[in-house]
Amino acid sequence: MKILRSLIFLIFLIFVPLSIYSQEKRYNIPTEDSPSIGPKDAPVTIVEFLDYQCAHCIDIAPQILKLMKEFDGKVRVVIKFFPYKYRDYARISAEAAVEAWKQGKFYEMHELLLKKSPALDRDSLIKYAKQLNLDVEKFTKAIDNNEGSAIIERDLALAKSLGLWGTPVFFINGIKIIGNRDYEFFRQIVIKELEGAKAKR
Amino acid sequence: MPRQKGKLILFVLVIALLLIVTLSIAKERKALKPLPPPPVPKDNPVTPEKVELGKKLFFDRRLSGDGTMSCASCHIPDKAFTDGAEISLSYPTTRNFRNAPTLINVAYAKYLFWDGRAESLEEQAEFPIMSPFEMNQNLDYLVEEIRMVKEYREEFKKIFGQDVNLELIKKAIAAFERTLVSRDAPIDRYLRGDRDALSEEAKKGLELFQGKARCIECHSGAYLTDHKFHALMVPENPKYKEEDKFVITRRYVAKINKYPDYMNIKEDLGRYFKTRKKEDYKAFKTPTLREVAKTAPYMHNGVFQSLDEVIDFFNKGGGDGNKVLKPLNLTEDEKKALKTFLVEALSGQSIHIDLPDIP
Repeated sequence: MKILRSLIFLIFLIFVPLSIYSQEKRYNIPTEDSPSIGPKDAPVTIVEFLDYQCAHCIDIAPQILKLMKEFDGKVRVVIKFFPYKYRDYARISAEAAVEAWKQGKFYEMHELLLKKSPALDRDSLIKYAKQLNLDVEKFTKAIDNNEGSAIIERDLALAKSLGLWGTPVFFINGIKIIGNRDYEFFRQIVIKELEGAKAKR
Repeated sequence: MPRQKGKLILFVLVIALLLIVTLSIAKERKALKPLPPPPVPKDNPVTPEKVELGKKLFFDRRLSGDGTMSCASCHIPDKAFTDGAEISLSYPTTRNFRNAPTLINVAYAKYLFWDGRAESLEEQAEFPIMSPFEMNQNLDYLVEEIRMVKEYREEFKKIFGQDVNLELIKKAIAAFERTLVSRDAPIDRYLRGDRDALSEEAKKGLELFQGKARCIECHSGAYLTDHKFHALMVPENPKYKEEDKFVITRRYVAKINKYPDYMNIKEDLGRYFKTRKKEDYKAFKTPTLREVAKTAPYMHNGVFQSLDEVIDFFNKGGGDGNKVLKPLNLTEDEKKALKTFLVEALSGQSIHIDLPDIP
């Protein structure tokens, strides 16, 4: 009886922490037809809902890049556009990112927008397009006519359906993280996810 | 002489009676109670329309200076209305310096904030909005931002019969917060007579809670708090205590509280900042224990990651130099039972919030 009790307690000790971790709600976020950075088959996918005029998104950008460097080839970042409607340049800078993506230079424009924010007015965006050797005429037409609208509106609707109200929000392999956290916080989740992926293999 | 003797007997009887009454009141105060309906101030009745307006404001990023933060940024519904961080999330480029408490059941709180500087939800609401390290919004500017929105103007007129103003914004937010009640926790069912509401292990934990572990000394009543402030000498959070942004905030808080040596302050002095009373030096509010399983990390600075760490802290008699706690000498089994009680008994029904359409 004593052995049985000890065994049950041992099982409890082993499985409770694991189950708490696995109980963390995981969201299934569609990633098709969205710009991304990093290998498509990476074991860890970070979906980030961002706004290029949001100071928190700017603050955290170097940490996300650092994560990608530290876990080289194992982390993929997918961007979802969530421009705040009351910011002057949030929407037009999302349009700029979508057009740069269509022209094959998403990563370069994404990095530039984060670096240059809040200088995200129309003239500045056209300047960045020139700097990146994009087809400037096409780019200008795209941002003037909201040609990225289908993608941006889709992402906004997705954010709403997920009950999101601000930026940044991350989904690391579906685990929701709201707001800015320190590097170690993200790092630990990535490590656990990599361990989980390894265990599954 | 007999008359004097009679007087003496009467005097002794009165004293004895007073003693009995005092003791019974004290005993009454130290009991656990099921959660009653939340108290509502007479000048701010809760109506569905006001709650809906308050919910919109709660999630509205106009309440922060640069549109990054809303109340919900640090009181996230699916994190039990905390943000799950040791030190609460902050306005961009700044650092908060205390842990974000849960808003669940906050309607029952007599004091708000870890240092108790507000005594009503209405009073509380403006502090984080104007705090430079939280929402960093100018209150006059906020009123104009809200007033500019037609839908808000109409709602304020309909609900309060008045144009938008700061007091009404605070009342609406407070009304919404008063609805965040976690009902029907196992402890409530148990206290109402359902003996099966707690497992045997949790019952053992309850016994410890009320006995050897002495939790009930401070965590009593329906809200599981004495609504008081105690200096347990919780250690400073080593991760932050020397960090520049954190030091800035600590100095700032000391400075606005007119603490003379604010430049050299090395600790969070808690309630002392407000009262300057010796007994409040490094004292913090006794938090509710309802929903405690969902509100890690713990203490005013999030220094403990788990309930195990908190139980160990109390078991060893609190922090260095405290005069409140004594070692409890709980065994491992007792600590486990106590934790089972905290986790199992004190979590009520989850609160589901539908995100409002913010105008």
